[in-house]
Amino acid sequence: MEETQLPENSDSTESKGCINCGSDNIVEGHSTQLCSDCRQLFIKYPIPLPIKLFAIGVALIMAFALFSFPKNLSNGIHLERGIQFEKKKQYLSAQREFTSVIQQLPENIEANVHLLEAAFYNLDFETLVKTAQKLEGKKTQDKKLKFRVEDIIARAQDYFPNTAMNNLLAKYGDNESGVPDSAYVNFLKANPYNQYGLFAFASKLYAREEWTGCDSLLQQMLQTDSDHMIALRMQATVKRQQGLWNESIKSCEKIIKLNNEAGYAYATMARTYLKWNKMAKGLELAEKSVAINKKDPFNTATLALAWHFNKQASKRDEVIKELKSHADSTALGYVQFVLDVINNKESL
Amino acid sequence: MFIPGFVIGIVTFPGVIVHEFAHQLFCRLYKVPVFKVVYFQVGNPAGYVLHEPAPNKWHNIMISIGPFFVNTILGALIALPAALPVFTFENGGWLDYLLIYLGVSIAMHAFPSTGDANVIWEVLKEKDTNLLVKIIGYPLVGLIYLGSLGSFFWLDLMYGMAIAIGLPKLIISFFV
Repeated sequence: MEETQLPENSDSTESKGCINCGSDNIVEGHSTQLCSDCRQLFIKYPIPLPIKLFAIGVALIMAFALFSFPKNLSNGIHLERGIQFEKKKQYLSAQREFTSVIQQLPENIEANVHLLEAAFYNLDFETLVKTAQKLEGKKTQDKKLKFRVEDIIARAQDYFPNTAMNNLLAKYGDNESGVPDSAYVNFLKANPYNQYGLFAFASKLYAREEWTGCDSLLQQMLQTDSDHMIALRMQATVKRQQGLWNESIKSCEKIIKLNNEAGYAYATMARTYLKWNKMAKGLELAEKSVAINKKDPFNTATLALAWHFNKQASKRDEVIKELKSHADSTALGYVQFVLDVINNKESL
Repeated sequence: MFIPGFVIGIVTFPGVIVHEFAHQLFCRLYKVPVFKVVYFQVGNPAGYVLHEPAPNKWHNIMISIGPFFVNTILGALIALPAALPVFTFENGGWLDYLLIYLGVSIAMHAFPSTGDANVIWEVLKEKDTNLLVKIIGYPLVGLIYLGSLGSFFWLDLMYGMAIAIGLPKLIISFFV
């Protein structure tokens, strides 16, 4: 790679002519005696054919590879955007970006790990399970990714019944509400940290509107995992029912701290404000929840309720109509709840 | 791990070719006659360009450091389409790996050699060299020697890898 220069003849006093052709027509002002034609010839020193062929070969391979470049670039942009959203704890947007990557590259480990995390924080258990299954047995050298998968899966396990809990449920036809209170109490004596067991029992008490007992179970859950999002969500509702507005809001804020785009947390908070007779704030938060995630019927139903309590019947009916139009069984349940609240059969 | 220079030269020969071609290209740009070009040979140096000293000191410096620009840009461009499949998505085909090999080989030979530094040194020692050329030239020679020293610790390879990975990252960060 050494670059050297031609010293010979540069200071020669003997040779008066061009060192290449002997011509007397020397171009002055240069260290090498060359005539104009030879100077041009050496300036345009030829590039050998093998070098040209080498360059053509590289250019052809590059051109071929460039065909897939736009798709790869687009995937790279989606992945990076997702990672940026993830850093800002905007998991809904992050999940959208990672899903785009997975559609193109279903086996990509990095995108799948990020999707797993986003799905967990979005409480999208269908995607969580599907992605965890996909990652099972996959090997990666990236220790950070490996640790993330292990951490998320360990935390997500608390959201599902374990073998002991499944055995209990099996005895009662796999129906959580069919399990008698005494069976739950005995089970939780033997398994005091079984998060799913605690939650199942809390849900049963919630349905019976036994707020104190329900809250006590939720607190037990949160002592083990203060970030348990489902426990926090239910706790926000329980505290609202108990008239503990600030505590209810605090639970929602904890969820939002974990996931800035937890639309349901904004909607839950909106319901608390509405029940607290802070209608304008309730409406503002309900609108925010729908802006974040209008696919969640819980948010849309909350907006309908917010319009109702803000005495905007036409807007309320418009939202109810929209909610009914793409109604699945879950959405229909929310529609019914909204109608019951409007008709004073239910309260927030 | 120590690997003799000539072995690295053989393995990364495309970079040596482009390095010498870059010297030639800059000579042509500044209308400096070239008398001999060895694009690649087994030995030390792995390649060289024999040319007339340019009358302009800046041109001399640019001819010496030309490979830094040409190898860096070309290495980055060649690796560009393959960097994402190989480094980010891990789904690259053999063609992608070939491009990465070419891109990294070329970019890692971007550093001017100590021979190139010696040429600049000679220019700087000349009596009529102005102060500005000296101010820029001396640190440049120091940097080239540092780079050469760094190659013992695979600095050139690290640079090549960084260039290959860096450009797609830069483009992506522009869109994000």
